[in-house]
Amino acid sequence: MGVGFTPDYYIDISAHFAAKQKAIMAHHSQDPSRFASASAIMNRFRAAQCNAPDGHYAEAYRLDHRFPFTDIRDLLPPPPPYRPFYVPGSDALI
Amino acid sequence: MNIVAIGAHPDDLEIFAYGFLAAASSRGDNLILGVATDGAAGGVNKGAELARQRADEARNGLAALGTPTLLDLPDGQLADAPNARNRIRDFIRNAAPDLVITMRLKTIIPIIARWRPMFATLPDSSVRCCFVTP
Repeated sequence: MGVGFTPDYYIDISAHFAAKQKAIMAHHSQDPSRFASASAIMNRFRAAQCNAPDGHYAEAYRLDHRFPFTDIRDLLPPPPPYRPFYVPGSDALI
Repeated sequence: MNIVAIGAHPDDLEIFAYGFLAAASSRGDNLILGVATDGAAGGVNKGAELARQRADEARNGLAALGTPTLLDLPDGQLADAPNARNRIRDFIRNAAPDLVITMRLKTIIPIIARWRPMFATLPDSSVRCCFVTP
């Protein structure tokens, strides 16, 4: 559940969250509803860190760099859109 | 772009990285999915029958993204499995990935820590970066 983990990149998974929940639930032997619940909390929290409102979900990652350094962020699926905080009329969380 | 994703157990990719993988798949990336262990230790009725069930669950869980390669290494004993490192290394090498997604290197699954030196054995031109999920 992310304890002690410091992410440095976020992926917007809102469009895929329902499919993710369904995929987790395929693991009948694992009492999977507990993992689906944990994933819902975690992915909602990660989206909230991007100031995304209810109904939005994100996954968080760290880049573990190798030599030689290169910036790979342009290879990655996009993060949630930037939402400034405290903008009247905005859909942002805060 | 070739993306390799490796989970330790049969449900790890779904729990930790499914959203990333689905987003990558929908934009046309080639996903190479791997499950390191057989998951035989992850349940009330541990053993070979559970491993068979979990193999089916892994294929079903990831069906929309591709067919996972089940490396079938022993759950809970990966650090001691003599062929584990070579199997995982070969799986990654053969996929010629641009990017590898795997699990955090200090997790409840300490054997994952063994994966870090493995990445050092890959050709420099192969993996540009390892991408780690909690």
